[in-house]
Amino acid sequence: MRSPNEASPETMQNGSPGGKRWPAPLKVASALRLFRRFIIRAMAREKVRTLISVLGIALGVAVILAIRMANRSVTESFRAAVESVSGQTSLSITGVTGRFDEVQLAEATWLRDYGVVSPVVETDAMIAEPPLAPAAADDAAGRGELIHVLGVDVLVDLPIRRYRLVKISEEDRDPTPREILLLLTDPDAVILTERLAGRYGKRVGDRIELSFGSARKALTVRGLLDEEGPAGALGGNFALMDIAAAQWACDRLGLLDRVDIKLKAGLDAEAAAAAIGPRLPAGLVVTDPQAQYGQTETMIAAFHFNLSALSGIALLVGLFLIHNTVCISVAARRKEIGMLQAVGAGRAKVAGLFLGEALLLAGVGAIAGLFLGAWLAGAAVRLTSQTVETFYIASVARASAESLRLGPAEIALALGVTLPLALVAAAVPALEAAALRPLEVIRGAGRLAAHFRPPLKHLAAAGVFLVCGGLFTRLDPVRGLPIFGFAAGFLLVIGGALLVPTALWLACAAVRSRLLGWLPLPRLECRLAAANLLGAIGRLSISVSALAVSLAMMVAIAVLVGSFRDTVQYWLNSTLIADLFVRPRMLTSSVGEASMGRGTREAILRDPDVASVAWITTRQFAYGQTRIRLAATSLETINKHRHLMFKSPASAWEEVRRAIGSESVLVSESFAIRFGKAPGDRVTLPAQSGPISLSIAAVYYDYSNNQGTILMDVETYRRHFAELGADPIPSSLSVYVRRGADVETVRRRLVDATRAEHDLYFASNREIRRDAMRVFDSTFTITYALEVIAIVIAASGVISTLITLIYERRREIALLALVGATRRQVRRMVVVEAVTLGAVSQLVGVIIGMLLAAVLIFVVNVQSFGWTIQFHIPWLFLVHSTLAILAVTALCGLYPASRAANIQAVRVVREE
Amino acid sequence: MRPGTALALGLALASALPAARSADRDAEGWKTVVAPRRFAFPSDFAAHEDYRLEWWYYTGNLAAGDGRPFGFELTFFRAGVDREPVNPSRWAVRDLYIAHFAISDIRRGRFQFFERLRRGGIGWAGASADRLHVWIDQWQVRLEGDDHLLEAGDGDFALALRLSPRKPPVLQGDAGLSQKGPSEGNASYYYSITRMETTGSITVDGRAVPVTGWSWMDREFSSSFLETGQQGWDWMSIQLDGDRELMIYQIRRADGAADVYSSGTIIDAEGRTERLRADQFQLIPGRRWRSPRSAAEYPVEWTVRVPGKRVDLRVRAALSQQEMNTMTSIGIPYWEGAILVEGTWSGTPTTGHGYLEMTGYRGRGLGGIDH
Repeated sequence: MRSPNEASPETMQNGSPGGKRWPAPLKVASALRLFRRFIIRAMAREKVRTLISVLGIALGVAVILAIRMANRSVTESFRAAVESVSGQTSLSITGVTGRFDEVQLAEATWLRDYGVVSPVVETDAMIAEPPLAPAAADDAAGRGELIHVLGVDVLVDLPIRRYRLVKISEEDRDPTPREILLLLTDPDAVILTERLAGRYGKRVGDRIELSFGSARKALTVRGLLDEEGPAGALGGNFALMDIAAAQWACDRLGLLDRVDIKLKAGLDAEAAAAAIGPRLPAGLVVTDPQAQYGQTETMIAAFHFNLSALSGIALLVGLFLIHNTVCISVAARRKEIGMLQAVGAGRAKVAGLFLGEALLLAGVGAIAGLFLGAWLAGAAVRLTSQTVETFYIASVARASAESLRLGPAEIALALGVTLPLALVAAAVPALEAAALRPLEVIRGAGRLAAHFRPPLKHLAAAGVFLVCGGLFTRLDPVRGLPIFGFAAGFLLVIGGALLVPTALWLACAAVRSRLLGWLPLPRLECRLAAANLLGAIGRLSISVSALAVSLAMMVAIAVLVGSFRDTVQYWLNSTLIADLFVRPRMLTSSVGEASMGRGTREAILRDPDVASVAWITTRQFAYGQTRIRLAATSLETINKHRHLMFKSPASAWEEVRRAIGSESVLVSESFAIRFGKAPGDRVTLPAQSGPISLSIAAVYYDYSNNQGTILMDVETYRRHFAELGADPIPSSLSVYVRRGADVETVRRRLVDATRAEHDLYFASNREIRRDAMRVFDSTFTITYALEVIAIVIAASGVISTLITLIYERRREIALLALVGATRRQVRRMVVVEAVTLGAVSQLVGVIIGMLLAAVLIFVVNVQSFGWTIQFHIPWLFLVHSTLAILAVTALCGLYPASRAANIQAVRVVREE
Repeated sequence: MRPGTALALGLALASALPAARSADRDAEGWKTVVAPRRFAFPSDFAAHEDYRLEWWYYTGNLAAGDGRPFGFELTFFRAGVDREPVNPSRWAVRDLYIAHFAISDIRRGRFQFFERLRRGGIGWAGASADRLHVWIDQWQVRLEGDDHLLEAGDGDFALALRLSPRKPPVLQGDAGLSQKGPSEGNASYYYSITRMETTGSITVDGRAVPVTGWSWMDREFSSSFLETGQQGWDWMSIQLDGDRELMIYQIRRADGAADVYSSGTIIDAEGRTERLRADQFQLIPGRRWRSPRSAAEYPVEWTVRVPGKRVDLRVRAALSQQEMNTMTSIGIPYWEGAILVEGTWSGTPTTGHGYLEMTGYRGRGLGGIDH
């Protein structure tokens, strides 16, 4: 039998007070009035709930926007920096193995037929004195600010790059090459940017101490640059030197980093490159100056991809909240909705009201998120600058913080994504509201979710998702990004969320049965709570899923980080066995290229208490389309101290002994995984004399770097890669102290012995481990922060669901009170409900979290970093977090519980 | 006397003029010109690295087969900056090399000027110390047999010429020692090859034109500069009918008077020379042309008189606009261009052509730059 109002919705609409006769503006006005009275007033009444929903959306939007803005700003700044530093360069000539002997180009007179040809020496240096206002954050090594030093011959470089000196003459014009050259002819002359000089209180004529690698040099400031051209690119951290002075200062006499060419007008870069390439001496190649841009973009993209994947979760949880809020809104005003319908408001209008509420919440949230995102973007940029590999990019990233801005694209993204999603999220409750039958509602009949069948459909769907997720873990990465890995993660999460109804059902059964009889629980309250929950599983599943997903993420991250930390710690223990570690003070974990000054190793070996010194030199190296690290050391020393940990083969040490001086190399695990290599395979590398093929003797673990490293014996290195055939200069040393000697004493003596000329950082074994772990921990800080946000949002979702339920059950609760339930019992019942929800969330969260952790560790991590991580279950953490969740949900349950207890039984029942 | 002097001022001299260190070295160790030397060729064509400054100066008047006249200038300067750089890098600047290259397309009234300023570095510019070979990138001068081969080009303009000396080098001044001012060492070693038969090609607007004609080479090396009170100079080389040549220059003082160190040389058909002192000739400026770029006003017509020889010549620029815009290399504009000459020599009418160089017509005098 159809109820009267259901019979003809059209009639109802036509008969509504608005009707068709009213002009459109009035109709809108009346709708707005209704919206204001019906929705906005309610929102204002429920301040906390409104605020939480808005906040949830705001956070989700903010994090996504922040990452997007940081990404764009870093990428754009990097492009701008590459462009202004490479200037008008159309082509560059570089050595296949890195730097090259300048004499190779002495005979290439024909090169100048193509245009302006400018040799370049490029290096990073550290300012070895404190700025006027020291930055707050400084590390243990007391590292100074890094600057990018460009050494060119201004006589030929000016057509390529623009330098604008501050007040060189009264005339406002660019300086002539002659004028700049005159400033630079002293062997210790340097031109700084005005901004940098200002920070250090330097004026023209002052001396400034710079460290090139570990070697300290005092230079004279000969001029100041406006921020134009290269000087503007790196936030002022730029210095211009004469090519001769730069070569001398960074101990690279006779070596060039590259030669930049600005082609004559009318020459096509591609054709010119094709013509120049074959005529170059062996070991030199023509490259596109934008090429390094591509490599870096991939790197930043990979970094930001991981963050974006995490931030998507935040938004998703925000949308759960909208759903919840609208549910509550509908539940709380069932009666009003019924009345509205009874007076002929029409279903569309009712649905519209609640969709409008969702839009309003999402809109306000999104706008708040815009501003919050703009603020968070700075943090994301800082994070990028700490995480990327080279100083150059790091400094670009830092500088880009100034160019962060909200563009129309961000606003469009924030609103364009949030609003439609909010509509979708609110659709179900809004339509439910529209479908309410006025008479039933007013009469108080009809519950939203009455009976719940065993959730077999959900269980089946969960199975499908979990299986698909499992299959996805077997797919290869796409362009270096673990897209399928993350997709597998998402599928597992969704599958896990679909398990929630079943879990709730089981939990209700458990709470109601005597299974938990051994626990000191109030039996009656438990039974009531279980019955209540069982009746509302459909509604509850969504918010419990949200909490479970958030918890799963937390568990996964905890397992990942814990396992990773354990693995790294184990690795550090077996590889960091020397007593002292020495490196240039300017070398940071993310800067690969600083090297020790000549003679440092000898000076250290002279100390009577130093038993032996192991060293390593590493540098960036082009390998195919990407960059890897090329490292050299004495394999004999490695074999002696055994401070390397091998993955394969089993007979690795034997292989190492065989690799000494031979045509074979050791590769790091990340190299092996990235390029699919195993012991016995060969790698082909461009060497001074042409491509050479080296065999892989063994694969070793290296958690210090995920670029991939090829490590070879110094003899092998010297044969094929050493510039000018010279001994490679170490980038760091490990010092073994004689038995019985006091390490502190030795360190003090070594510091004194080297201080005069070298800017070195001596770290004890303990310090270096502490530093390593600190870098490790700081890397994961943001991950935790995102997690906490997600959990807070999800937990608030659970409270609002409970509030909804209580609204819906006002009558039952009132009846309970009438039949003698005390307020305390009502409160307890609600708290038991809350804790049950928390427990189910945690249970599902832990299961999904473990699966997710396995995906992160064995798929995503391997695909994007190439590291083996030993899976390790952090039992203590799991126990703690479970207790914490139970406690938090119990606490969270108190608020709805007190609302339930305060229900005026008599009034409610009388109303009914 | 060439504008390389000015260039040395601009580039090499960071401080005030250094005091002498020993009899024939200045404070920075460069050799000074104090006594006549014995010249030997071809070895004296090569670079003299002990001196701070030197130049190889080629100018000439050429014509295509159809008589279309061209003037050209190709000059290389070496300016010492730091005789013994402490920095062992190849890029350390011991010397700077500068080249000026100009083509005057007289019939079309066009003048093209190019300049280069380079350091030696890995040998992309240089001057050989044991033979005639000076180069910057592809621009170069070198000796092949007795001939001087010149090559230069930029964009659509180029020259490739073979200059064959028809007379031996002429030692200017006092047996090749040309005193420029009263202080000791303010002098240069100076010789010229006044008649060089020239063949080759000139490329204008991308079109190579075969040319023939006569060129003149000037070669100086020294370590000194103009002195205070010397404003600039006017220099000309004239090749007349009957195989006669005349080189003449006057140093103008700031007060407008001709300096007593002005000088000249007459070369007869057999290559015999006769020196002219400041009081033996007159250079009288005529019509002036104002450069729109630098606002300097150059006399582009001159009367040259050597009363003792009954020489009376009228000199006029083949083209008024032959000013060199040297902002990149030396930063001082000067005028250097082809001239046409007619008049009388020992009373008989004669015609000829040559090159005129004028400096110090704008702003402060060149001699004052270092103070």
